[in-house]
Amino acid sequence: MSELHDLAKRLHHDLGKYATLQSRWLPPDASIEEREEAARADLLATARGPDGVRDAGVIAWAFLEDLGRLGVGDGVPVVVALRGLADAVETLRAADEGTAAAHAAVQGGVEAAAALRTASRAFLASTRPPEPDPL
Amino acid sequence: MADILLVDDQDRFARLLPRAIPEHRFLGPARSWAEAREVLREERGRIDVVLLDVHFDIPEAELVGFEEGMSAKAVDGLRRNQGLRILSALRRSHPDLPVVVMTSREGVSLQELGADEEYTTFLDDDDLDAQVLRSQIETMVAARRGEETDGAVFWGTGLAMQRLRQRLRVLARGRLPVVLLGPTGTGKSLLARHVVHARSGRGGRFVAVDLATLPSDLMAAHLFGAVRGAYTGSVGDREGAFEAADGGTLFLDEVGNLSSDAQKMLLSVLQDGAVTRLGDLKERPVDVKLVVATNEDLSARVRDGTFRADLYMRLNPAVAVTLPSLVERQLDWTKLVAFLVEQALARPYLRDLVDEYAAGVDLPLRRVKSHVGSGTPERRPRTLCLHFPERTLRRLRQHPWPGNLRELSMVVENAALFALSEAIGVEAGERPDVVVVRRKLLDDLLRGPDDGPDGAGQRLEVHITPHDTLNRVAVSCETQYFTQLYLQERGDFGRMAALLLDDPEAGRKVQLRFNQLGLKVRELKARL
Repeated sequence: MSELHDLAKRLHHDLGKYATLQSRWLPPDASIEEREEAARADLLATARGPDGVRDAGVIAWAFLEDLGRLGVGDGVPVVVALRGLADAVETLRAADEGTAAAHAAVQGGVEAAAALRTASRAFLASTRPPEPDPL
Repeated sequence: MADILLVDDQDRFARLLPRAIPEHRFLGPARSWAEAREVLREERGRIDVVLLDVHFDIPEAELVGFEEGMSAKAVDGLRRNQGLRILSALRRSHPDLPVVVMTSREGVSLQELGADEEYTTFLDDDDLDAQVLRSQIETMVAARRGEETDGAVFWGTGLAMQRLRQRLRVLARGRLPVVLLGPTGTGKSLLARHVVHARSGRGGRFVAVDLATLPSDLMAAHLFGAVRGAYTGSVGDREGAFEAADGGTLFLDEVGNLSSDAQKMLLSVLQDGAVTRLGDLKERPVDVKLVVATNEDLSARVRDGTFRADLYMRLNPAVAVTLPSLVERQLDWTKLVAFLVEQALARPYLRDLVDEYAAGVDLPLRRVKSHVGSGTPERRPRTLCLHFPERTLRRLRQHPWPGNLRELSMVVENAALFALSEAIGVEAGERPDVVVVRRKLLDDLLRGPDDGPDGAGQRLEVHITPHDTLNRVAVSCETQYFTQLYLQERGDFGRMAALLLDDPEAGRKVQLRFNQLGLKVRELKARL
């Protein structure tokens, strides 16, 4: 349970937080171009570290692997959301920037990231160890 | 503007923050503890707040706590909690620098990190947005910069009171009413005037109405105005408190005392933004920031049907601000007492006493200051110092303060008054520039009415200012006498009437006079 909870914490932080971060912090008066740029950064440059830049799709696949190892299989909402995000990022990568398909892919990615954020929060709550009995 | 150091291995927040919160200067990001320490050294105390991430994906050699031979899993754990390691290191070098940690506090022991809640705040990512962060930064900066007062209001540096201050400032700017709750004497009217009105940006007047002292049949006319002949004795048109406060702030103290008619009319004013004087048909638009205060549970009054539910909802109860009692506040007593002494010394009648004392000891005088707590007051040219030594301060701390800040303020003022009075005409010692407030004086001032010897008369302390009329002096004596009699007779107006008028049937007369003097039954009942 503890390993699963640790994994859930990492998932909520690495994807739940960072795949939506710049979009969430935009001021209300941000233009469509700014929103699109923020979403692309959230989805395609989700993490930077010693290994370079990683997109949300790569991170999602790594988590799918870890979840599978711990016995969390298909059908679980967080797994569905991870697959959805990975697919959306792949679609975004494949679309030529500036085209209508790219605009639609960004929108799809934003929705998938928001769904993942919701699912990862619920998953984190479900793996939280029970409070110790004060008695 | 505050200087905020961002400690984060990523540059996303560094890009987002200046745009989302442009009123502050953001430095960094410092990508490791080594970089953060360097910036803190270079800035030499100029950093107001540190904003700290937790997960640092940086080379292992830069991680705090890294040791050769660590397993990959241990290094990963170190990276994931690196922010907490940095917090611990930061606390050793900068114990009182405010830090906002951008993560949930789940599973974190502040004690193990050498941190405390006073200067460390955790903001869960799910709660973290520009507005929340801005509010947190402003609260911490205000506390750090020693912004402990707003005119006549002492906040102290405690985070809870600073948060309350921040909340009131936000509410002051809005259009909705503000509800102030809390025990008597906690400073509700001070906050209404010096924080809500002062911060509202409204140019109009501040008008205060104490509903506990208004007879219920005159309440509506007083609040909403009346035209000639609207009621018996109404000899001319009169403006109500709402019109007087147009463009400003109207403070209704003890709002639970609103008569049912006045409740109905207040609801109508809040809904329509216009007031109709009693006996008139004409609506007059009013733009008033309404602040109401009570120490009653209004929701209970709604449940028992004595306060209108629709009016209650209009008063914006969801964001009511509750003031803590004096003993609940984490107080810096030294600063609070010094603040109250300075306030008291600004009163003209005390200044007259100070001048009299200074003339008696041949002290050329330019200013008066206070010295509260341990240590000997510093000798300064042309300065008189009122000294509350540590023993006196300790006596103040020990008192339960049922009357809260108001009671403390009065005791401090009385202490200043009696210490100065007793020093006048006495041969000055080695330090004529220092007047000491001794513990013995506080013992006398804090002795309750029941502490006196049996059969002995109670001592009344009468506050008199120069040029007071005989009427004011009489009212002051009468008010205190009524208070003591009320407590002695356990609130029985019949028995009070028997003593005062030799007529136990005249309780109503006594109660009327009681109200005219501004005495509040509810407050006195709490002391029974």
